[in-house]
Amino acid sequence: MNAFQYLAQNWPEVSQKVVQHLEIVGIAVAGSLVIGLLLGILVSRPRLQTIGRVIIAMTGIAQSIPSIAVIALIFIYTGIGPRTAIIALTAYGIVPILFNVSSSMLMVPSDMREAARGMGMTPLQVLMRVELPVAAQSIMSGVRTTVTVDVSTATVASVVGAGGIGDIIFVGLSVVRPDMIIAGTLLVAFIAVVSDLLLALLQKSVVSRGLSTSS
Amino acid sequence: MIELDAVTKRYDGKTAVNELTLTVPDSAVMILLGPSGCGKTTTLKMINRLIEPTSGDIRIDGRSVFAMDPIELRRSIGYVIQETGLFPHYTVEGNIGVVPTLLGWDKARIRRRAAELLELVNLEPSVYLKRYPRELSGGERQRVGVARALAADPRILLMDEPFGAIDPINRRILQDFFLRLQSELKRTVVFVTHDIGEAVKLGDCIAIMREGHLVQVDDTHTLMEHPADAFVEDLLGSTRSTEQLLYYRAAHYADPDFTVMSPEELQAGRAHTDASIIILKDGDHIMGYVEKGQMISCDNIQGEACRLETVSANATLLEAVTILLQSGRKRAVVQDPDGTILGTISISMVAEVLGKVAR
Ligand SMILES: Nc1ncnc2c1ncn2[C@@H]1O[C@H](COP(=O)(O)OP(=O)(O)OP(=O)(O)O)[C@@H](O)[C@H]1O
Ligand SMILES: [Mg+2]
Repeated sequence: MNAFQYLAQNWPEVSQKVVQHLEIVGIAVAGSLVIGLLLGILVSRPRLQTIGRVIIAMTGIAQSIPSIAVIALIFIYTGIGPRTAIIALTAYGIVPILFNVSSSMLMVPSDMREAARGMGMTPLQVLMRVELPVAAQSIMSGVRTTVTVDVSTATVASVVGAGGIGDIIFVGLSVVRPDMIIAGTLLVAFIAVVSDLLLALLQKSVVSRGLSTSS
Repeated sequence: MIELDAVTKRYDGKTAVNELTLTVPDSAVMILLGPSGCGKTTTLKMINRLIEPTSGDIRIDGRSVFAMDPIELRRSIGYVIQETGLFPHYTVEGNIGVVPTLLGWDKARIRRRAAELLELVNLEPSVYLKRYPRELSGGERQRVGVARALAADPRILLMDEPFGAIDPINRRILQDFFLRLQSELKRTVVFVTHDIGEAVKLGDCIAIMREGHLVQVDDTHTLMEHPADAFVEDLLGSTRSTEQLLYYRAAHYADPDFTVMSPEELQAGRAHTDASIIILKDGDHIMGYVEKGQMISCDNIQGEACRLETVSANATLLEAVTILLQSGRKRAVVQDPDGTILGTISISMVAEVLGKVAR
């Protein structure tokens, strides 16, 4: 049997795994986005900028921690089930978003902030109308990285009983069925490519044309 | 009217502005002039409370700004800064609409206002409304910056070296444009610069600062005639040099001995030779000039050959000389921002002024 035959014959079960996978990734990305965005905004405030730079340096180190280590560590506290995967992926996915948000916000020229204040914007208006839109390109890149990483890492989370497409691959591994392993891999790759494509479109629509470097 | 009353700003130990007292009358352009680091920007930003002074009071029309909500205060004051002032993610329309949006104007009204202001600053609305700042030249950006500051019709404008990053030729054009605008709008303006020529050209009054202190504040002529001390004299460059030409406005030296004629009148032979003649077509297009006592020929009245450059009445003599040299002609017409012809100016007249200086 080849991978496509496997997918066709087991579609009800496979689609259930795909839904599980998307759920884990979706919740984790949303969590990372909220936390990463809030933290990133916080550490880019003038008074906290020194902390901000330290955090940016630390995210570099955090990025080199293997995802499986994070999953294993969380597993010790939360045990079997999707909860462990979601918490681990959320924590892991904060890193690229936090890095991009804080570094791009710190790069917004202080003159521009001051012009905004000088025209009578409240601090919240400066954030919403100037800082975030100007940093949007980089923030969206961070989100895309997190989504791509989460889609593939969620596969590994099958080992803590989270479900998802990883189940297909790991079962394939234990019963030596290359078709299952390939089918699972293809699904993960497909989801990663499609979601990144959609996010690229979203990025284009949220980033002002005035900021793009081309044309 | 803006009053600064013994305003002081200290940054841990270092005094940026020291006991500064200054009154800016209504509809006047007050220049803050002085060397780098003397506290010009700090003074300006205290007026719209971007910087809070350590002590002292600032009043607008008698009301202390510290009794006002800083956000509302800033929305009521136009603010123009150098280069990075425009928001790159907004179109020209969006940029001009920043304060009106904050004030809750509706979209249609903002668009009308933006178009109106673009016309005021000589940019065609249909071309520029939808452009982004990166699609504008430096000079165009600066014009949009001024238009944006005027959007909600503020009575006060604060300008911090608005033309500082522009090349000399375009800076001159923007300065002329600012003068024309100001003669029409009559706002109360505080204008920071460290270009003496710009100060003389644009200012009704010049406040000279040094290390946080106000050294002297006077109108240009008084400043020239009676500099308070050696520092002011030095700053104004009163060492005898061509810089001297920076202190005199072309208007003071325009030769008013002329008559205006249309080309038709000239051709009809109604020229008198006892005054020089400025040939004006359709009432506002300067075609040429006939020297006193000169023969009138077709050359006098036809074509590019006899086109005269114009010098703004507020221009300095140095600027007038530059224009004369660039145009390659002996004479230029001195014109008010509103178009009134004040007279003509020539290289030999400028030389005469220099001769007096050298004595
Ligand atoms: N936030 C700050 N902290 C400490 N010192 C400051 C701060 N802002 C300004 N200063 C100091 O206050 C002085 C006045 O600065 P200011 O920006 O008003 O100068 P300026 O006259 O505008 O100079 P320039 O022509 O170079 O723009 C300078 O010596 C500057 O170093
Ligand atoms: Mg300054």
